[in-house]
Amino acid sequence: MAQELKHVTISAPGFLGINTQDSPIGLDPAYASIADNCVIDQLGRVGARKGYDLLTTNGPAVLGTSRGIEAMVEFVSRTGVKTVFSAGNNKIFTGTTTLVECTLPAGYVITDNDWKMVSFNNDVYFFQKGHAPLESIVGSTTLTLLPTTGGNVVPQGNEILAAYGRLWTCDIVDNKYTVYWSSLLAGDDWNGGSSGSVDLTTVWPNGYDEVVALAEHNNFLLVFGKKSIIVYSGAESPNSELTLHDTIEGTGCIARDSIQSTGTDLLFLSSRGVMSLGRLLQQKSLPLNDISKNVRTDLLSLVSVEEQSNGHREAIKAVYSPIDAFYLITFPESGIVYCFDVRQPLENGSFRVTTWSSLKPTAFFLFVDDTLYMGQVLGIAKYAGYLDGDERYQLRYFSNPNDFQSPANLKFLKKFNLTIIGGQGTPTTLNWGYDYTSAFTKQEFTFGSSNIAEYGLSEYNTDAEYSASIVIQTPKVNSTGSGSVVTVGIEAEINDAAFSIQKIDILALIGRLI
Amino acid sequence: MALNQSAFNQALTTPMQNVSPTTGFNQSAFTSALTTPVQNVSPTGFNQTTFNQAAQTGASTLSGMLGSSNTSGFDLGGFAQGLLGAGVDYYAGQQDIDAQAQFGQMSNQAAQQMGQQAVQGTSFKPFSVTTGAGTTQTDAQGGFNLGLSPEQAAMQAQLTQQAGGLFGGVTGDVGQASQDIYNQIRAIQNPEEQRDQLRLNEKLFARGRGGVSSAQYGGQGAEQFGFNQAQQEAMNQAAFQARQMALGEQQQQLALGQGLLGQAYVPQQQQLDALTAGTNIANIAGTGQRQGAQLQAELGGTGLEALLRSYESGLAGEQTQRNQLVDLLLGSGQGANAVEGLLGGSSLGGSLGAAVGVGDAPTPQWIKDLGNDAKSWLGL
Repeated sequence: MAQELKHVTISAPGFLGINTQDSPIGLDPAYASIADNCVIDQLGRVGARKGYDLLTTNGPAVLGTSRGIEAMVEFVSRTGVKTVFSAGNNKIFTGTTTLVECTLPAGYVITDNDWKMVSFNNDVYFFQKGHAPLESIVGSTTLTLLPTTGGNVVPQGNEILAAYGRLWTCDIVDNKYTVYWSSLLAGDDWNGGSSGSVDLTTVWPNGYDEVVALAEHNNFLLVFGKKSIIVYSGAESPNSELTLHDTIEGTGCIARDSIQSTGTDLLFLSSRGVMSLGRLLQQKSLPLNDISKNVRTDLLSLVSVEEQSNGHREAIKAVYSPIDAFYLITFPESGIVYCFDVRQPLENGSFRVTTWSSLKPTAFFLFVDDTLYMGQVLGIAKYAGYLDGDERYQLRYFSNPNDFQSPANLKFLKKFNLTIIGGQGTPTTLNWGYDYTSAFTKQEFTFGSSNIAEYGLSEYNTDAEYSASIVIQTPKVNSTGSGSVVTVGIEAEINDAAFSIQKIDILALIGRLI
Repeated sequence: MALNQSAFNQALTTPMQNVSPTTGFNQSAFTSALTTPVQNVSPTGFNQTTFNQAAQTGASTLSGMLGSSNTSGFDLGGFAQGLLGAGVDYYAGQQDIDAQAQFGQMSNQAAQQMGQQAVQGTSFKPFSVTTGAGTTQTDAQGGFNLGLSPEQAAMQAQLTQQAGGLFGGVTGDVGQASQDIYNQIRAIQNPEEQRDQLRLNEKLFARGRGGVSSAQYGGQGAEQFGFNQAQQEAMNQAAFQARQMALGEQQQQLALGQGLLGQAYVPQQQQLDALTAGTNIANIAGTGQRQGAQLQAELGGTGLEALLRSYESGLAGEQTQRNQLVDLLLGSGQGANAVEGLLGGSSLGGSLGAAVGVGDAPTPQWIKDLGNDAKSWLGL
């Protein structure tokens, strides 16, 4: 007598993101063990990230064999003129399509590309450790050297923040304990007017720390040390009212460019992972949350790689895209980007996280039109489309080992019914394996091409195209083998088409007790 | 008649001894003293009895030797009588001249002596005034010495020295005095300022502002700037206050110095006041002395006049007696009133002429002795 097949459905597989920290057994099947080049789409599904559209045409000529564009900023003048400044190959450029090298002050030598650039009071300021700060007046491509001698020497800080009507800087060579601020509305006046500084030597809660970054959040000035955070209020009048509001011990920021504000939270990379510093409404202290706890070990291992490779963490870049609702943090040395979906935190407070590989961005910047731009080896790229440049990229989703809530029984997988959204012409491979193996059984299939809705395109009087607005693929794959726990994976070579895994239905035969 | 010079001088001196600044004018002693010379200058000084006896004896002897004039033809008696009368008149006149000259000389001497006594009696007698502050001694030249007692002198020296010290402060360096006062004020203010600074530091570091450095506030935080500003204001105020106090102290020192200096001379002033009072009292005594001297001089003058008059009377009486004696010996009157003297007329004969050296006979020794005796009588 034939046994009844047990029907197991994994709806929206991986929509809780990657979880590599908890024991896979008994873990919610909505967690994924691998969700690479994925995002959590607007419908809560695991889908393919977008690729990038390389804008720069003269990248090899100006960037050579460097790591590419490692910093950039879009400056919009008061008259609305937009100028994109970028840095790479020890040069500073303007433009996106054609990178034009800026004119540096005479004799000025750039030895690194860890610039932090901010727009302030209709000018752009360039700060980097060990370099005299530069200024682009009203977007000029001829950069001005801020004073390095005399009575108005500008601190050569590694961090620069424009907030409260003035510039703030810190992290100077041999001085990692002082925060400086410029005179009001004068980014080039650091010794007169209302400029000033605060020595944090006696303020660090753990006695000693090194200031790494600055941020403005919830009307507080946050001074990030490596292992602690100092929360100052009254930064609008720092000379007279800057007051210590709170200190956070044990958590700091280890990567200057990891700090991003989501509007409600301030996200940054700490030695514990990516942290979220929330806004406070009633509490005295800012609520601090670890949003990367599901991938903590993997993420911190990448931090170590980055530090070991570069000697510092300035290459770690991050960006927040409100349109895409994610926070990206890239580890260029590892070629990995962690993507945190910021829509809704999970029950444990973490954010749904996926990884991006093969994209290898070296810089991010969200332009004023909310378009995400990123630095690439060959120049500036726009986060768009479903190709990395002209190349396909692979989406990988693998579930955690699943015992179908019958841990003591063998499972015989009989059939997979997949529901894929999009994926036209996308070569896809279904993987399954038993008992924690990484030697998966694979079944390849390719979805046929299909036209999807072409909204906004005028095709009047052309050949009629009959298609649904959303392409839904429902491949069915027969499977073999048995085991106590089952791991399922989908690998799809994204080919210029969206790809989202809506559902995976598994028909399995529950066998005897082991 | 001879003046008892020593008694007269003694009499003149005595009343001056009776005028003393301390005992006043002894009127009775003065009167007694004045009475004494008068007694001594009385006619009794002229030994009338001895004079009469000598005159009697001589006349008897001469009469015995000459006998009666009626015994000779030559009126030798009348001649001798006339000769003797002329000699006696000459002698008597010469005696009067000599006596008056001697008397005038004695009167002059007595007047000078009285003048000297008056000068001595009215001259300034130095006196001393002794109070608790010391003794002031005047001198004959009209000067005086304010002799303070050792205690008062020491006090005066001390006060003067202290005043000098204070005056030294008055003319001292105001800047240094101000600095000293300023340091004292700051020493008072410093502890509280240090406590304020500590409280400020606690507040600053508790608020994480301990390390704030601002160009707006001169390289420091607003609180520290405010504190320093307040401190500087306090310092400025202290400096200003110190200056005022230094000037005030100089005024006080000046006043104190003046006071001390004035006090230092108070004993002298007291001495001067006492001298004034003593001078008044001395004037009282001096006035008595001068009045006594004046009275003595006046009385002395009066006595001298009385003496002169008595001498004049005595001389007049003596002249009268001499005239009577001459008349007795040689006769008097003329005509019917003529009275024959012992040596005139009949009683004076030849033998008598010879006996008295008339003619070639030598002058008998008895006439010579008689002349010498008369000379001795007259004190010549």
